[in-house]
Amino acid sequence: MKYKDCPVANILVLNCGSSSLKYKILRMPGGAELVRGEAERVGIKTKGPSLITHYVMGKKRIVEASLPDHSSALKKVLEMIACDAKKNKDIRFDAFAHRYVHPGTFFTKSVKVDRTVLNKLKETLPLAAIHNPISYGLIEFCHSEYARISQYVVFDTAFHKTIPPEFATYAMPQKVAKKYGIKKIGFHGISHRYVMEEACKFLNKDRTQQKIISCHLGTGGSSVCAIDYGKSINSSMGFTPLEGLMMNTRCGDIDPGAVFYIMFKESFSSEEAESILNNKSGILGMFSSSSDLRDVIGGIDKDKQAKVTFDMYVRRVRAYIGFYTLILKKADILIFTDSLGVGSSLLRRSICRNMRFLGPDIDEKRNTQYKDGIYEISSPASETKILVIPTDEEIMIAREAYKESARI
Amino acid sequence: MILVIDCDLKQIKIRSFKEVHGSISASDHVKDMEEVRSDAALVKYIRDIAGRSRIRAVSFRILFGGDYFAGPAIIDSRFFTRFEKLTDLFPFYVPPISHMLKNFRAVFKDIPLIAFFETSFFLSLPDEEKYYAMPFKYSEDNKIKKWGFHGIFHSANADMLSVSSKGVSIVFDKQTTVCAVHNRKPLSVSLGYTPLEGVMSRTSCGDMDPGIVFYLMNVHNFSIYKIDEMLKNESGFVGLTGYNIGLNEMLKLRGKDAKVDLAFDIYRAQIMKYIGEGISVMGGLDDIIFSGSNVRLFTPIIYDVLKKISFLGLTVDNLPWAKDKDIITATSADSSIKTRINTMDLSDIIFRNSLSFLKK
Repeated sequence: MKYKDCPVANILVLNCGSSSLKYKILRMPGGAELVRGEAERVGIKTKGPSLITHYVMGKKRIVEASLPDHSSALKKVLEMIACDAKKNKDIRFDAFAHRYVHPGTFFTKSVKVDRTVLNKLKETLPLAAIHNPISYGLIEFCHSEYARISQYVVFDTAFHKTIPPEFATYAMPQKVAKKYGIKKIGFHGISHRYVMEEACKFLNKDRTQQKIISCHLGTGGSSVCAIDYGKSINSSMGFTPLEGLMMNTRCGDIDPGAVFYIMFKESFSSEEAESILNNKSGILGMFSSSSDLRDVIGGIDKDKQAKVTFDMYVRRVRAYIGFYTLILKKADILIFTDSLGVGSSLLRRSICRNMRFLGPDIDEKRNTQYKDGIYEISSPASETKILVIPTDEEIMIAREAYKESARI
Repeated sequence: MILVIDCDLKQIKIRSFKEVHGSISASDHVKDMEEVRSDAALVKYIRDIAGRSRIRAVSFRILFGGDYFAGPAIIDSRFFTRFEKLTDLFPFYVPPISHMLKNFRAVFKDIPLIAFFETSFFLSLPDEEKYYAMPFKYSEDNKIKKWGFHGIFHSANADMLSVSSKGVSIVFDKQTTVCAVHNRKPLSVSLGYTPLEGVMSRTSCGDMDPGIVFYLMNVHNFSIYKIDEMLKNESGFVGLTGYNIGLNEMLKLRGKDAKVDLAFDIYRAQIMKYIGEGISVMGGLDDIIFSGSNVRLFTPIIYDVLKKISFLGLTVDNLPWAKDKDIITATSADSSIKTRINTMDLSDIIFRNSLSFLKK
């Protein structure tokens, strides 16, 4: 069946961050964007006001609003969309599609929401203490307030279900691991999968014949994924999003013995220690005046602590590229995506410095020239193509939901 | 005669080196610490080993030297002032070892006693490798950083490299550690602040998502002690397979038991993680050196790892490799990355280091 023969459906995609709500209405199957926007500073106290930046058919509007939580942000967004619909009958939606971070081992593919699914999702709330309750709240809200509109949940973990046991198993007692469903689950799967597909389209390659290392480097979370012939085989994030790279406020890889020692020495409860490693560590922990790597980069020439923080961030990305190069036996493509991966040429240059032995050889001129869209920044001699690709999780979520709706 | 002493809290191992007609003969002596608990018993034991030979020096392998010992040190009053400051960081180890060393100092007044530390080599780790990404004040106040381990082996392996070589050094002992070496200095190391981090061992977990620790504590009410005990003593090969057996028996089950095979696959993956990290940090690879007390036992694993990474430019010789030499070459002459297995014993390395220390 070709696209033009498929039924049209408008999908409202909801993508929650810890303090943001991104949304888009996409006309599927083509993916034309009707509405997009982002509610910022949701549920947090900051100096600036909470606001929603809202685009209808590309026309921008900024609305200040009190947004004490994500449900109130969604209510406000839905009001704005209802208002737009009165002026333009094309602005409507037939289904909700949510990004859901951590379904544990309960779900390995996208699902349509019903009562049973909601009950199962409820059990996953403790797995991602920040993200899951937010998304769950919205799904429940839509389920009760918009019962007649179908809802789909797309999981950030589904792409990683192909990670083989040798990389997914922690070397802990297997009776404990099995009882509590503990294994490497991996995250950012929607983004890694999107950039994989875009890279292969761009290079005109069959994804089942490519070995890819994808670096999703965001101002919030960051992760690296090893993709072998279209399938994820490893992710730097683990059972939770705390493992792996250093992130804005998350510690990433750390000696668990150090965690025990701090809890013991400082008399922290496990909740306090968890909160410190989730919210006060990473870039913020090392640099203290900001959790944003771009601020670190700004201070790199004069501030020793900025330099160490940046070097640590870079080293950890390089370490995973080194590891994944070994398990893939050299990558065909290395991808940089998300705000830092796309936004900082210095970061890309530092990560790729002296990497030729492992495959990637960056062309510095092309790297600094990068403006937008998909762009190749490797030298002609590079064994591994290096691409910068802005991610688009929303279109990927809409595609998944659309596919799921066609199934039913 | 030179004595090399390697002791932990359970056991004291002594290797005595004696020059007989121009060549060195070594002999081994092992006792439970319990048997030499009293100072008099320990002194008698040493005197019995020495017999009528004159003891030129006694060298000790010390597990931890903190920030104070960047190299071997003569055990004198200044040593004790510094060493005892480490009690807070290593409370079960430092006081009994310090007590024993003081006893030696009191009895063997005129003999040089030398301490060789497993952590000295790593004091020059770059800052970006040394620190964890946690609030800096906790790292500072509690000295939480990577101390590294197996420095005596890694440093001996580093000395086998040409200065400009980019090398990976791997030690198979009770713990397995991987270290990247450039300009004979360490640039990365797998084992961190405690022996939990890095590569799994017979009973410890190796790399672990800290989120798992919190998940078990907050959601399933595990106590910190229960998790600590589980990750230290019930994980690793034993936890993965459910078989409470030694690694030599574990190796014999390879290819016959799916759980054992998976455990070795995970182990190999953890080693490869740190080899990959090392290569990326150095921007290349010229040499790989394996060593440690289990290095001969682990030959099949070494072969397996080398085969997995041979695409980098290794021409791996087929097994069995020559066994009779101290240094075994595992790659053929045309291999662009040279691989050697250093089968020297830790005590022999400390003996050699003692001789050069005494010359100075």
